[in-house]
Amino acid sequence: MATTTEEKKVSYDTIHRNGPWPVEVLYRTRLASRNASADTRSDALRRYNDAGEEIQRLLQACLDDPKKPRFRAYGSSWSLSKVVHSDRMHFNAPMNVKIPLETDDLHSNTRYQHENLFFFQCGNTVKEISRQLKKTGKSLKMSGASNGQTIAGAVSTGVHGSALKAGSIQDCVVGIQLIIGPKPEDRVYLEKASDPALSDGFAQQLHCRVIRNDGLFQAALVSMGGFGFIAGLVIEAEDQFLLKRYTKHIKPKDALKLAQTLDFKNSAFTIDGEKHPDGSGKTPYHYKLYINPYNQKEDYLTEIIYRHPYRTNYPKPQPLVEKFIYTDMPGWIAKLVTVDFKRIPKLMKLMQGTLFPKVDQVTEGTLGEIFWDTTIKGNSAGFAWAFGVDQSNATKAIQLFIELANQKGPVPGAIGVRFIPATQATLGFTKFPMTCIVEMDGLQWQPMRVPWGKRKSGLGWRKRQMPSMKAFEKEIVKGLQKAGIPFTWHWGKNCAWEHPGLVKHMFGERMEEWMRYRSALLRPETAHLFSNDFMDITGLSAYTPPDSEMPFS
Amino acid sequence: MKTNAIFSVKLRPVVLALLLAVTLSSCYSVRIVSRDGEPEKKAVSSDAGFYRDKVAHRQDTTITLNPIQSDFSLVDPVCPYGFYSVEYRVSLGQALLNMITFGKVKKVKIIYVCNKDC
Ligand SMILES: Cc1cc2nc3c(=O)[nH]c(=O)nc-3n(C[C@H](O)[C@H](O)[C@H](O)COP(=O)(O)OP(=O)(O)OC[C@H]3O[C@@H](n4cnc5c(N)ncnc54)[C@H](O)[C@@H]3O)c2cc1C
Repeated sequence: MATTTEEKKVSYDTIHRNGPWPVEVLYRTRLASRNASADTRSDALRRYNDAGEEIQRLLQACLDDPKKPRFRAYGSSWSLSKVVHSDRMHFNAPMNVKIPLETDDLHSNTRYQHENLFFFQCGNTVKEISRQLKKTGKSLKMSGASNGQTIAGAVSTGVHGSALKAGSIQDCVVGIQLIIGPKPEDRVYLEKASDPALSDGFAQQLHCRVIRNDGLFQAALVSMGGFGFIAGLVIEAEDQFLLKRYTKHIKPKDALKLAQTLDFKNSAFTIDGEKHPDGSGKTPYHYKLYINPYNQKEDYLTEIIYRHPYRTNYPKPQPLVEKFIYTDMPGWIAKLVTVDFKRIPKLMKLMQGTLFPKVDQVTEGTLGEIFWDTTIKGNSAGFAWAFGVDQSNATKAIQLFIELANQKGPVPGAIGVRFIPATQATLGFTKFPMTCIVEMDGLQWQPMRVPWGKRKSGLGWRKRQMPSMKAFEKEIVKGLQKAGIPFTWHWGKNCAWEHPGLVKHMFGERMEEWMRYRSALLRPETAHLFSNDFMDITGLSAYTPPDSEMPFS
Repeated sequence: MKTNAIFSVKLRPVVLALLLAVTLSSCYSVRIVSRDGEPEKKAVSSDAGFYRDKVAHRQDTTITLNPIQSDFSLVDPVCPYGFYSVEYRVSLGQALLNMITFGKVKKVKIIYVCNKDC
């Protein structure tokens, strides 16, 4: 039997120290032991279903508590926003059953091939999944820049890479198994009516009722934990392929033109060995830019990756030695930044080697090998911002961000730019036909008044103050609004989430649509159970009485 | 001149002790990491750097060998699915102890992370 340990009054923190936040109860569920004498599939089903029952027991305990605590599952704690935080939190990284699917498990009208469909329990990480798929010569279609997220965590916030054709991670999902409460009918298997994948018979083996509804499926994809506990996901994989990765300097003019058009065929920037016979550039699998916002004379850096057929004889791309900076170093830098923030540009120049990938590197490997492990460096707190704009606004948005960083900052971080085709998820932040994500990763800072600054004529010394992180986040939001650039924001990253009407501004009618589907799926008490402060602040937690147009409710 | 001499005489042992403490405790470490392994993760991130998100086990012990014993194995009781990483730390003091006991007393300081049950 699955067993859960409970820790009371815990202080929860993210991997990048964006907390700590108080948690009333922290649950960790360990799966039932394997039965070596049973066959792999029936044993996987037994352990999976048993874990589901355990989750339902925990949900019942929350509902029975007169204080009506709220419950939220979490995976690797890689989200930097408070999206993950709640009264009671459930750590589900150990829940990593893999259920082998058989041909009979497929829906009779499915367009999917049996060998491409895989069922993973929520706590499988992207790395585990890549390893599992590799065993049968398969691969995920895309991933983020690294591989440590759990599949449920990654799908729930809409993790993306910069794959120009493959979309975001939720776009590989074709079925979702949710636990939406403690009752037997609260085990639900969800997929699209227009695009079924698995049979009712399979869902019965998971003790689930089946809902096939396109709108509900799309709403539940990027749900930030608000649609209940994701027990498992059906993923469509594809044949293994190789990625050849180049890191090159690129002239800002060429980089921005490519950002605006993604027209690699007619670009002045080409890579030897990745050209058409007529000499024009091929369209890559992935295109990413790295920009130091404080040195506009310098070339940008691009990570450009081309897709090639799989072969076995390639040198493994992971390094044999990884070197890390002193644990305390980011902490010192953060302190230095606080005391004299005007030094940030100089520090960035000094740190360029650790902030950006090495230039003129060529490596080749599978998706899982190229987007490999990330190790946390140092002891200081980090932040990450990532906003999405339509690709046609890419140049405007990048320039606006650089200007803000220089005029209102400087702030300690480097800019990245990635591109992702439209997601099907209702609240997926990669919602534009081609979304350009403009992001900054850096060190958290505390503003401090500095008594030296620009002299204002006649008024004596003016105190030049570094903006707080919150204030700077607001500046970005206001800057984009003022410039009339429609935008979205990564759910798992830092933002001025409390900015009035932010989610409505970003998603328009999709916000209400998402909330209507959520209300139709959940009951008032379970809608409360699966809400949190983040959803309250962003206005997503409100329960609206179910719509008669939604027959599944 | 006089005060300087007093200082140096009085301070010499302190400075020496400090130097010795720093040198003997200064250590170097080697960590080997599995490329394809999946580390067992902590429910709540703590610590800094490499071990922030990983469940780290620590072995800090002294092994004494008798005259006819040449080496030893530490048998791990907690990683049924193998190791994700193993870090061995040794300080100058520990190396000296090993040397003056002709290799018979070994201070062992290891930090290791188990693979997740995949
Ligand atoms: C080093 C690093 C690199 C990153 N790289 C990228 C990148 O390249 N691209 C990108 O888009 N993002 C990136 N991010 C952001 C990160 O990948 C996302 O925030 C992702 O959601 C984290 O996954 P997780 O498993 O840690 O989920 P968590 O952060 O633990 O949870 C995320 C959300 O998922 C929900 N959730 C988790 N499990 C369940 C479940 N079983 N049922 C219901 N809800 C659940 C949680 O409630 C929460 O709302 C990165 C973050 C870090 C720290």
